[in-house]
Amino acid sequence: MKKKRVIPLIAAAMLATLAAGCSNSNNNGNAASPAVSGSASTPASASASASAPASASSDNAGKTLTIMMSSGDYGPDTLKTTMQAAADQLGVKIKYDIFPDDQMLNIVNTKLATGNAGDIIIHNFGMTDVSAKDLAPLQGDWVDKITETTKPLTVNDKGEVLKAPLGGESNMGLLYNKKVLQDAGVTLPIKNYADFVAAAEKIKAKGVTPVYISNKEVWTAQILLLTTMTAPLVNDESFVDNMIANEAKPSDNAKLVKLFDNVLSLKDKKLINDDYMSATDAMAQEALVNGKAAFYAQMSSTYAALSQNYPDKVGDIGMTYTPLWDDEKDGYVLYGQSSTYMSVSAASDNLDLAKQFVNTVLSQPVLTKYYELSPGSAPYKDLGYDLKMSPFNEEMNGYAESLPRLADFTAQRFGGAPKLDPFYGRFNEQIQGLFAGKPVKDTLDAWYKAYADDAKARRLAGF
Amino acid sequence: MRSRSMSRYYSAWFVMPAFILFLVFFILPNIASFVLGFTDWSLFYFDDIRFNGLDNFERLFTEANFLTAIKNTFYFAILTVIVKNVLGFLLALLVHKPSRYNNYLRSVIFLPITISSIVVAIVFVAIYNPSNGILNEGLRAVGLGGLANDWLFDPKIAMTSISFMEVWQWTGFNMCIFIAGLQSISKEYYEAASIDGASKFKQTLHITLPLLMQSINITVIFSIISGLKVFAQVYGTTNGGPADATQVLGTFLYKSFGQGYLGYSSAVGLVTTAIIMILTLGILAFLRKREVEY
Repeated sequence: MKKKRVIPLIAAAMLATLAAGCSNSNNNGNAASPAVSGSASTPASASASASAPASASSDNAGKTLTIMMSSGDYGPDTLKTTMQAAADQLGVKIKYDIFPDDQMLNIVNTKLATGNAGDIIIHNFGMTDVSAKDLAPLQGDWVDKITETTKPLTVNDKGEVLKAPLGGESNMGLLYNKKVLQDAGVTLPIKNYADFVAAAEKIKAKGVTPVYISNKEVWTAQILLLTTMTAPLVNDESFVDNMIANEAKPSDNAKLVKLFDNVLSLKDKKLINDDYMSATDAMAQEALVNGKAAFYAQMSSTYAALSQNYPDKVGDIGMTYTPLWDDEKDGYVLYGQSSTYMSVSAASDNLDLAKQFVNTVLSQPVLTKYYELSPGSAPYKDLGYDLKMSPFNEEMNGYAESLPRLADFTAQRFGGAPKLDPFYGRFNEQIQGLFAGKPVKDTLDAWYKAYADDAKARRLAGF
Repeated sequence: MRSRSMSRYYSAWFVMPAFILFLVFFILPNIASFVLGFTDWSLFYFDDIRFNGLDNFERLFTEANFLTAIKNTFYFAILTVIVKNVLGFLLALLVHKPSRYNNYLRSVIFLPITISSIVVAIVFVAIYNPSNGILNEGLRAVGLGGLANDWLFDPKIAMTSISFMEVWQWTGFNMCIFIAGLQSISKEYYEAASIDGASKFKQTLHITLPLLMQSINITVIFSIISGLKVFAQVYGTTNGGPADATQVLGTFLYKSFGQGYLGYSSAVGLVTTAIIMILTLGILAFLRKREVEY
């Protein structure tokens, strides 16, 4: 008789264990979620800032917020220090779920779709990439202060803000070593492709690599073209609209094809490093600061990494635009949108606290601390206080007085809407192939096919 | 006293736990994967799945990268099967006799198996580095700088370089299987052959190889399966690049899943499984016919 009772009990216990193992851990931001690495729980400081309500600290004591971010963002101390400052103000603990850079988007979307995401997500996804319907609308004084450049990337089709900009509005262009250019007799600004090649030849004659390509990490090599190809696309009146409607391909645009030819010619003329296929971003930065390379395409936010890794040499580095166009009329300065955002999962059990945390990060003391560590051009206007700007941004601002900014194109043609962003999303996969020997037309067609496949999955009209 | 039904289903109750696990974790996911292969399910419309007929398969077979992935997977599988088995057999012949040095050599050759494939990949990225990797540095040191290459990022040789990693890591496993096979062959066959005047080569050809056929079958099948499901070696070194030159079925599937195309990924998985299953069963049937017993 006893056996008859024990067996069902054991079976029930086994089933309960199995069910517990299979259920999602939607309680309190993934306490049991499998962080890939670097999971860290940080105790809160007892002190609360004067700007935070005194009650906030005691109400929140012992609560833990989970922050999801990529390993690339987790690496430097900038974000961790900033998040900790906000946690100290609110009196909460924070726990990080860290994911590899190349898997971050997929994991975030899967977790959002299954209601299993962390409370806060730090990312730089486009609104069309991330599962926007699973993000909570955010409110705060900062909402109305987001710049016109960054604002279109933060709102859904109802105008609700789903991404709180944190990182500076990033310039993309060419970092350069001032001493190398001076030794070679090269002066800036360089106006067009022909002048750029002439300058590169002078640098090469001095035994220095003119342009460093780190093609192993495709996200850096693509900057050469990302900073130059918007003008040929946008200056042709109906081209972008036709491309979006699946009625034109990038390879139909003669100016764009020529621009790609120009970039590829740097390889043919041996103006780039020999190990361009396997070189990394770290190798490029080292070559640049040590005067072994003259130019390197990167983002202005690299200033923080250079300051941290090469404090004695960062002053030798400047930033200019990428003059690879034949016609100066196609020239522009890429002054992009904010490079880092915070979003809150709509399914968070700590929804209000997570929103409060975002607002705390964007309060003056914490935001000031962030920009001390990572200087940049703030994505906010009329804040009433100044945030530290990097010398790279300042130099690019100077060039923008004589050349249009990228935002001028989009504002003029699309009312500020980020119409081209979905195209750029699939671009980095193609650049490696271009330098590996894939013909320009094949590269452009492969790029468009990747976009078309994506558009079809998104059920866009015309695909 | 047991009831008749209890007695009839007695053995079935024992099978039930294993069957439930097999059903939940294998049969149902595979059926789901088969059905999803005919839908446009994606992360963009996670809650709204629509059937799209054969669209996924049409896209798959017109995808140049998929054909590249098939070609590379087969290249990797064939090259590693041949080299691992030939090298494993020769090494087994060298070290199968018990001695202190042979025991040491066997351990050294077998040791790479104990390392994770992704770790091996990271180590080989350093070895293959064109600027300061020890392979190119070694070649330059002995005056063979002309042979120095960008081993992982030159599309012409990248797949061969990756294949060599697999050979380095897994030849020891094949060697062990062959040693076990060699030690089970009676010495009497060789003594009789020697008396009849057979040379060492002829003894190997007519005694060792036929009697080793079961071991060869095992290593060949294992090698084919591990060759066809290659992933970590590529992911950890080139991630399918440059320009998809090293894309294999595993990374192709991973990439499409990573882009959020869940229905399409199911179709890729279905086709990949079908290819591997047909090939493996065909080769297994072919090899089984060649097993002999004296």
